Amino acid sequence: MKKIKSFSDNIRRMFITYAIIPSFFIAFSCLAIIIGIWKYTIKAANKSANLKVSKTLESAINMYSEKLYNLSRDETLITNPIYTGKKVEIMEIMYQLHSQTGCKADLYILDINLNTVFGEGDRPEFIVNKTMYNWGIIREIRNKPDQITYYLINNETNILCLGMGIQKNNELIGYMVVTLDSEEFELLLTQVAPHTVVTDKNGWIYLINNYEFEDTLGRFVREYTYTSGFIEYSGKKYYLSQSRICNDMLRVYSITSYDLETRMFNVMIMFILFLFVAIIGITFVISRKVAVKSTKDIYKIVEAFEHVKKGNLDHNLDIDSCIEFKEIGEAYNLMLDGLKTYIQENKELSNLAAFAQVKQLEAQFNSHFLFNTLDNIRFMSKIDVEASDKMIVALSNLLRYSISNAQEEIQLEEDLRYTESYLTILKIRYNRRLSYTIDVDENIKDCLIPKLMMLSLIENAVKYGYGDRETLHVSIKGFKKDDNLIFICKDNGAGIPEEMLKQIRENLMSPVNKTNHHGIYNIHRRIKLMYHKNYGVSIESKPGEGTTITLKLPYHTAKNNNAL
Amino acid sequence: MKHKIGHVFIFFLAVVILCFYGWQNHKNIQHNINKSEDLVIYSAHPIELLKPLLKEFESMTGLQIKVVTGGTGEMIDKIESEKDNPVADILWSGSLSTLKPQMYLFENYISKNEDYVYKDFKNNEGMLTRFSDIPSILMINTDLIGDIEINGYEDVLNPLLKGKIAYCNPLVSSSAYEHLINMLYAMGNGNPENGWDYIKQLCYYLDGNLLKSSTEVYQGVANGDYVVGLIFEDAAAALVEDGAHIKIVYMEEGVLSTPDCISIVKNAPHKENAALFVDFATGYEVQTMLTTKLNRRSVRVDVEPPKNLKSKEEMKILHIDDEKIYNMKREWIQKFIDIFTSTNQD
Repeated sequence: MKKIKSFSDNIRRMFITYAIIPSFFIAFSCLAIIIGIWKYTIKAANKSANLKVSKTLESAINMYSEKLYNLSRDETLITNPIYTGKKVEIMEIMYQLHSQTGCKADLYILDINLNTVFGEGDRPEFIVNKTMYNWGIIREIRNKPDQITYYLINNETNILCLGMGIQKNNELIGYMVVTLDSEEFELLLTQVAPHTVVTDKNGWIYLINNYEFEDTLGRFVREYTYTSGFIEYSGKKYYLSQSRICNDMLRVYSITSYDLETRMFNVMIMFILFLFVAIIGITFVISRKVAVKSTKDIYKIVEAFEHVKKGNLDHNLDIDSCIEFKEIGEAYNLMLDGLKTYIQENKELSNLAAFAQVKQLEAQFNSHFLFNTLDNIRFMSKIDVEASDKMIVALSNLLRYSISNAQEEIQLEEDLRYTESYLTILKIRYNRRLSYTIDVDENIKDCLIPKLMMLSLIENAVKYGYGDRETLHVSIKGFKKDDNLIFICKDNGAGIPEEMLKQIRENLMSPVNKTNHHGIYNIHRRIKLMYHKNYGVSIESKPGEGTTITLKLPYHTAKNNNAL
Repeated sequence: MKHKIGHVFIFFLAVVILCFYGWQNHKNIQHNINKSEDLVIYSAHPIELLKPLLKEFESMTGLQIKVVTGGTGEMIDKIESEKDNPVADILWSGSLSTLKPQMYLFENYISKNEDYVYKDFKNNEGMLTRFSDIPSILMINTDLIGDIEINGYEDVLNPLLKGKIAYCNPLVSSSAYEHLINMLYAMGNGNPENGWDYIKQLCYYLDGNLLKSSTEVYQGVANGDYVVGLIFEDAAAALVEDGAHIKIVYMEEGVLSTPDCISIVKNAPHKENAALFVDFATGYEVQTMLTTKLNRRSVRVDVEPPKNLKSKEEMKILHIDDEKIYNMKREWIQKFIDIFTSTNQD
């Protein structure tokens, strides 16, 4: 089941999902693209530089090699003395090559005993000693006299020797060597951006412009076998490209350092990640506050509804943060005010109605009682004047009491006093035919009860109790049970027939009296109107045995009257 | 739905980062392949000597050589410590008298050029192939020496030269040990026990200076920190050739000329290549290179003596009791150090 989240959580999640994560995703994508492009650029620049150096070197060497090869076919260079015309011819070729390739080379022609027949100096650099045939370029030529051979001399300057044997009838009769000083190519290296290293096939360096990749002996560093690609050397990052030229006799390495940039990018990535984490952290804290702040009014409204739910209508909404919520707040206040007024009016109306009804019920009792008593007095005045006089006094007391409109409720004690007056009247009227007991607990004597209620009970009992009997006993019991006052009025009269009892009970439930039995109904109705709830009258009766009427009232005295 | 979009974003982010790093690492792995060498040489020879010879050997054979340089004593200690699992194939340096006490570290190998080697420089032991012949000499800074005439050890004991004599600790340098033997024999008139008087006086004139490597000796004299240096011949000769104001004096009391060696390490991992290199080093071409370009004396009879160095016939060459020297090595060095410390205590 989906958990219902709070409004602020939703705002925070929306913020992270739709604002922060996409923006970081875009930032990282951009960075990745930039790095990709940048790496490609490094690669491309490096390769083109490598290509430039390789091409220049290879074309120069190849041009010299070609001429060397052609010249070496001429065995007369050794067999015959070189005359001036031939010398000029050879020098012309050398000058031509110099201007074509842009680099100067020296040509030496040696006889089989390593004596110089052409070229400057008796003992060129590449010859250590004329007895050493098995060393350097001479060894290379002797191994392969019919091919161009290469040898690199590493002295103060590095010299590349191209060698070719001069053969006669497949027998070596002389040597030809072209020497290319590395200085000739130094300018070329300054024209390309990456570090460039040119080595022979064993890794001995011919040309270099970055000594980081040279070991102590003057070789290209040998920790690893380097092929083209991104490499790491002594803790730094490089892009290296390699090409092999002149039948794999020479290798050209181009090396671009990208260490600084890599570190920069790493710092950027770390920075972005840090930002990401920091912003998410801050969002978690701030978004709640922001959400709380911007949803404060919503919570106010929620709170207001809570109050209403509990029945408290006095909570007003006070919103002035934004127009929309202010509108809601004002409308709510208006509605609440209307509701309150309506409820108040309604209450007053119902109070009025109840009061009117009570008055009417009392009035019914009064007239009933008055007729009966007046009837009695009429009889008594003929039989016993003294008694009738007593009755008149008692009646007048009662009447005064009943028409004193001061209070609806009265202390039980006082009500009992008037009940005595009433009983006096009845006693005179029925004489020995009526007996009664009133047993009310002392501790409830100061309780408030509806006026004339006891009187009504007795009246009702007397009215229906006799039936066709001679005597009647009425007992009234009053006590406190829980927080209620219970009065039980019991008689041993004729009782009420079952059908009628049922009718009376049903009648008690209805707001309008549909029968002519006013007594019980009126008592019940008055209690209901005054105290509501489950207070009221219950009635038990068995024909021929008597009737029991039980009253249930709230226990309250004049002191705690306001509690109700 | 909202959740899914968020998860997809995070997932993509992770993929991008992982790809980026993976790609970088992948490249590194692909292009840094560890390289194994075909021959490992431990040597105390200077780069100037190593470079042309190794270059030629590599060109000739195509083998890849790894060189570890350092003092001879240091190299022997290294080989000793690697005895059970040898790294080096060849020790290419060290005088005979230095190596002999520890020749059990080396493999028996007689080079194919042994027939061409002088009688005195034959590999009698089987492990110690002689590479070149190195006389001990005095080197003098001609700018600073003034009128003082130096012809031998005796002339060094000059109050004007006190504290101006460069000498190395014989414990660390084989050339200094050669000089110690040379002094004991030359100044003891053939009996090394009589030479210690001279050593005591020399220690006084050293004035507390005992250098830590032979390089410090010849550089110290060339730089003018010292006036006289006790050193081996080729170091001084190289400086002379380079035009430094240096003069070589062969001691009139007698010159000890001992060979240095090239030896294959016992159980060398590349034994065949090592044998090839020993043959190459004792071959005619390399030995000729020594005499013509590297200011050294060859051990081969068929190689002409160097033209720019004094011929051995013109020197008083000392002939010494080999066996005695080897047995006394430790004792003599200790004695020298004791004398030096006691002389310079005050």
